[in-house]
Amino acid sequence: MEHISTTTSILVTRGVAVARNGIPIARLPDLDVAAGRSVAIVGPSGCGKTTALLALAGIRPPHAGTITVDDIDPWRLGAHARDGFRGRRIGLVFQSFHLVDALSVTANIRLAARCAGNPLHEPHRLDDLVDRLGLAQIRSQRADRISHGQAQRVAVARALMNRPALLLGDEPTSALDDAHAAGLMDLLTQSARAENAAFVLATHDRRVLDAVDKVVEMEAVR
Amino acid sequence: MNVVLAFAYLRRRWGQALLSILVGGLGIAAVSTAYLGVDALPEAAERAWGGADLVVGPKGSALDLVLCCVLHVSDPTGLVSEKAAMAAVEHPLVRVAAPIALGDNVEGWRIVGTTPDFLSAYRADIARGRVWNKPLEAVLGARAAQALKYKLGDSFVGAHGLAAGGEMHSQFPYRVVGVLAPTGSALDRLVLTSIETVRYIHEKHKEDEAEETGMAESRVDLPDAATAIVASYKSPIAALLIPRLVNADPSLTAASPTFEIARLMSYLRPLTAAATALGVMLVVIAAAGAAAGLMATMNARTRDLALLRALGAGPLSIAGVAFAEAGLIAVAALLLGVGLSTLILLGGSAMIAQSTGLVLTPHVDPDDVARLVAGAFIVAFVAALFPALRAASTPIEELLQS
Repeated sequence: MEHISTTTSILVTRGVAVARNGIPIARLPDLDVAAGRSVAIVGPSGCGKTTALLALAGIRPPHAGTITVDDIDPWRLGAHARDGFRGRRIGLVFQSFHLVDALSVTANIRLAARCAGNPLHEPHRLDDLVDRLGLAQIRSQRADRISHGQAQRVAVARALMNRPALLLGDEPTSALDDAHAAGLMDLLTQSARAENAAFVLATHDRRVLDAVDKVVEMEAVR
Repeated sequence: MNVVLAFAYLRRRWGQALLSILVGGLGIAAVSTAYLGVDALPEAAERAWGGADLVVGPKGSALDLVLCCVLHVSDPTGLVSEKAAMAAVEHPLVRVAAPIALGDNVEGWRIVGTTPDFLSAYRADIARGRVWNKPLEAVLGARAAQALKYKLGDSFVGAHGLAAGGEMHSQFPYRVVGVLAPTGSALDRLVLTSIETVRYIHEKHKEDEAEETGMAESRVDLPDAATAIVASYKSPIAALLIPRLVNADPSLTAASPTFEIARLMSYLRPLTAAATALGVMLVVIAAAGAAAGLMATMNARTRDLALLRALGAGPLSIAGVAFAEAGLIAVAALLLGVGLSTLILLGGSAMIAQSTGLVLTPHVDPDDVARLVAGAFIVAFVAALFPALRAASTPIEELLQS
């Protein structure tokens, strides 16, 4: 597999291996992902893609190797600092979006800022995202009363709220039909580019691979 | 973030939250009402008995004597000879003593036959008019005057008995000659006249009854009959001596309002404790309900809480959502409880004042308020503790891997 090397890499991984129950199961090819570029990590179900993504997000430590996001290794930070770093510098988009049903669209988006301690001092950031992602009409509606397509856009807006350096997506398209999958990938890649964020996607959905700059495959550890 | 989320979650399960708030509010209302009400009762009773230090009546219950002749809330138990009773309290340590004779009312307000010394015993002043000096002249207590709406010079007719609805003594119209200044005591609810007037009307009533029924008149053996003697001391030391001297007479009972009211309060103490215990029980039930509700919803919210962790919120911040939710319930329950307590005390005070003349004026001590608020929040904290710990330990991995 080929590295994507630029002089302004946001995400750099070296020798990252993931384990299950303490036993190494797969190795992530070394990555150098620049701002505005996108990479898909592929592999069959259970190969360790999501576990690798958890390591990149600073949620579960890798079995081996180093990870730096925006020149900071989240695994060298304390637990509290790592939570804060993730909130400020990493945006996450999940397969089922995970909006908080009890909150409105704008409250869901604002949640990202609040959880991260309001790192931005841009009063119009929320409105800009709402306008850009076409959510103005539904901004006050509760999250459980909006369509699936709208929920996708809310999830992307939430992930972008704090101007993350790294945008991570975990199987965001696997439950979607072709048209919706293509639409979401366009939205994610274009948003990452517009926000100057590196975008890394873990997927087994081969339909979306054309939308990313690079595809890497998890290597099984024998 | 915590309060916004907690409020949204509460709104989502408003039925359950409302129940917790309602039960908690009732508990807080029960505790605060019992506490404030009972706290205010001795002071109200003290105000009601005014300056009366001693009441002397026929042999019997001292408490009944105080309730009847000082607080004016119960019926007389017998009669005494005015001469004998006045002689019993004649002592240099007694400032003033006055006989009282009960038996009639005007629209439910007691007519009390007495002497002007009665006003001195209560340290009461005439606000308008003058003191009675002829038969069938009446002086109204401040509240009685307000309720009856009589002016100086107006006439009224008394009725037999101490409650409204008795046989009217139509041939004996009273004339209002004075109105007393408010004293805050039971005196405010009385209509005063000369003791001879009350005796005369009752003698005539008995004669009329005997004539109507054709039966022999059941004449009272005491021509100078009085319901009791009310006295005021010159010095507190008299309280140690005078009742003992009076009680030496086998036909008399001396009752000290201070002592009897304290005794009455001691009877009420178990009731207060029961009301407080009921209130505390309701608060605990509310807390248990809120805790169970929180636990149940924490299970349903595992993904939401994991999401917050994924978005950068620390475990403490996540735990804060549960605490904020319990805190909001506590605030609402406090507002409801204090509101209910205020309504109960206002309504209850009016009813108690109407039926007993005791005017409750509960004092809200800032320390008590602080204790109540602290208590509610401690209960809320304990209720939220386990759900909060559970929330704080929510694993994020499950969210991403689900």
